[in-house]
Amino acid sequence: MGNLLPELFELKGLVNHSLKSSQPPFLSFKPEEEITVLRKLKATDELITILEQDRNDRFFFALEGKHVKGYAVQKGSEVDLVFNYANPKGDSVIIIDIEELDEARKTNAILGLMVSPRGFTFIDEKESGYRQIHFKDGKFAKGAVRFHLKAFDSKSYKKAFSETAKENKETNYERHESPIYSTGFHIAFDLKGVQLYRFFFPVKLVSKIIKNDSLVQPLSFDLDKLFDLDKLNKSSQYVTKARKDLNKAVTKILAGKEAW
Amino acid sequence: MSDAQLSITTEGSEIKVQCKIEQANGSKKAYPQTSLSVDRTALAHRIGKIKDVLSEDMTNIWASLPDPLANPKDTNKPDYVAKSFKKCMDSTLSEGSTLFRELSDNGLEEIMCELDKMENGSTISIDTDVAFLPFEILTSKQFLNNPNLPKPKNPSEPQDMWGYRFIIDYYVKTNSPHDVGALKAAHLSNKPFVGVNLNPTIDDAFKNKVFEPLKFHKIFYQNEITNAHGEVDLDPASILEKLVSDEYQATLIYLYCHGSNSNPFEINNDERLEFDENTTLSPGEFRKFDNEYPHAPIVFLNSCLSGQPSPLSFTSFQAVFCRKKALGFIGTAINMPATFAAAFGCHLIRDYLKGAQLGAAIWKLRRELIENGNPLGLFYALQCPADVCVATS
Repeated sequence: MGNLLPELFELKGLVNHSLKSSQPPFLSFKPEEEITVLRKLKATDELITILEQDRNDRFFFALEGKHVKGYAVQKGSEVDLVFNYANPKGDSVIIIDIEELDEARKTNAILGLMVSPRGFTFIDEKESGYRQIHFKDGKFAKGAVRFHLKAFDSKSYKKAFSETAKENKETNYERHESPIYSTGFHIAFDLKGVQLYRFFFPVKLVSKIIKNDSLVQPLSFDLDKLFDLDKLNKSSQYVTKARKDLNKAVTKILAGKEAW
Repeated sequence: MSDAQLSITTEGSEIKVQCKIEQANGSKKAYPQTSLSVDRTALAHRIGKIKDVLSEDMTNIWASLPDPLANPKDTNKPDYVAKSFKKCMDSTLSEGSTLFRELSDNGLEEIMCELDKMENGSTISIDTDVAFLPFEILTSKQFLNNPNLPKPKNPSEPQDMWGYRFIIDYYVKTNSPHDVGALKAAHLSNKPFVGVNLNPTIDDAFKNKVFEPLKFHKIFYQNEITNAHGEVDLDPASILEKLVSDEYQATLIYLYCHGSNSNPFEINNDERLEFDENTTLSPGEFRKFDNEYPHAPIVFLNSCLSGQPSPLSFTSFQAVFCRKKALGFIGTAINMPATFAAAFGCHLIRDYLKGAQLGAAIWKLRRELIENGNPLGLFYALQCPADVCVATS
C-alpha cells in the first residue's frame, strides 16, 4: 500500500522519479500527508483504513538537532542524521520505500549504508560514513544508525560554493545556469558490496532557524496545486487506457493484423 | 510484453545509468546504478560518428524510386534496388552491433543483456540528458561489414535490431517546467489538427524526377487531411509567425524543411532550421519568444539530423519546443533522403489521424520497411510517450 502514491504520480505523468539520480528513489510523504492525498483522490474509508494498518514501521532518515526545522539546518550547528526502521515521526523525516531494503530486512541480510555529507562534516574525525546494518526479527539488531555531524559555517559554505563553481566551469558543467552548491547527503545502500540504490537527500543550510519561516518549512507539497483532481483523473484514465490500447496494437501488429 | 525504463543522465562529469524492467507478469527488477566509463565529450564524438553510417552516396537510391517506401521487388530494377538497400542495411547492422558492444564494454553489460532478453513488442523508455543514441539500431549479435574479414558465426539479421523488436521512446530531459501528464491530457482533450509546414524550395532539386516531395505532400494533404483536420503552409513568414504564437491550434506540428549544423556534436555547433533560402531559425532565436502552444502538440521535425541533440549542446530545438508546451518530438538521426522523409512523414501523419499510438505507428512502419530491406525507419526517434494518440471521442 505504501507504493500507491508513486504509482499515482506515475499516472499523473510525474514519471521517472525513481530513476533520477539526484532524487530519492521514490517520492516520500509524511504519514499525515499520505492520508490527505488519498482523501483528495477520493479514496474510500476502507482503503484508508487498510493504509493506516499497513503503515506502521518504515525505513526512514531523520534529522535531529536543536537547530533543525524540516529539511533545513542552521549553519555551524550540530545535527544527527538518523537511519531507522520504525514508525517515523517529526517534520524532518524522509521515508524510503525500496523493495530491496524490505527484502534485506525480512531475510536478515547485512545491509551496507554509505553516507557522504555535502556541506557537513562528521564530528568524529574517524567516522568513515559507512555502516553495516544487521537485522534481527525484522528490526535493526543494534537500534537506529546515527551519524553525528556539524553543518558548515558561513565561511566554509562560501568557500565550498566558490570551489564548486570553479569546478563546474572547468568541467563545462555550468551550462547556462548559475552553479548551485547543493548541500545534503549522498546516500548509497549495498548488499554484499553490490550497490542497491544511491540518491541525494537535499538539506538546506540557513543562517538562522526561525519558527514559521516559510523558507525553512519541511519539504511539503501544495496539494491543491499538485493534485488538480480533474486533471489527475483525466490523465490517469487516459494513461491507463492508452497503455492498454498500445499493448492491444502491439499484439495485433505482431500477429500481422490490422492495428487501427 | 515487458516495460523497461532506462535512465542515462549526467552527474557532474560522470554519466550514470539506471534500469528498471517490469516483466509481463508484473514482477519488477531494478538494476544497481552504474556509470558509463566514457565522459560526455567522448560520447558526443561517438554519437557524431553515427550520422556517417549512411552516406548520401548510399541513400541516393531513394531519389530514383517512385515510391520511397516500396519493396525492391516492386520497382523497375529489383536486383539493383535490393543490392543498394542491402548496402545500407549491412552498414546499419555493423554500426548497431559495434555500438551494442561498446555500451556493454563501457559498463552496461548486464543492463544491455537483460534488455536484449525482453520479448518482441516490449517497450523501452529512455530518459536522458546526454545519450542521444539511436537505440533502434542496436543488435546483440555480431555483424561485420568488412569483406576481407571472416564472417562471424550466426551473424545478426535485420530482425535482431531493437527498433524491429521493441517500441522505443525517449524522454529528453530539458529544463521545461511543464508536467507531462497535464500535457498529455491537453493533447487528448483537443481534436486532432495537423499543421503541415513545408519549405517551398525543396522541389527545386527534384524537378522532373519520379518523386517530388513537395508535390507529394500537397496531394497527401488534399486527399487525406483536408481543412477539417489540418492546414498546409508554404509561406516561411507565416510558418514562423505561427511557431512563435500562443494561438497555434495544432496537435501535430509537422515541419518539412532543411536543417543545418555548423559543427555537429561540437560545443560550438550552430543549429538552424531553413524554411527557405533566406528564412532560418536558431534555437536561441526561437527561445526568445515566450509563447506556449495551447494543445500540447507533437512536433515532427522532418529535417536532417533533427533528432540528435549533442550531449554538449546547451540549447536545442527539442528543449525550446518543450518550453513552449510541446508534448514531444519526432526527429531524425541521420541526413535523411528527402523523398523517403516525405513518404515516411505522410504515412505517419495518416496513422496518427486514424488514431494510432505514435509509438506503435512508427514501430509498425519501421518493421514493414525492415522486412523490405530498408533500414531508414530506424533513424527516426520518438521523443514522447509511445502511447500518445489523438482523441478518439
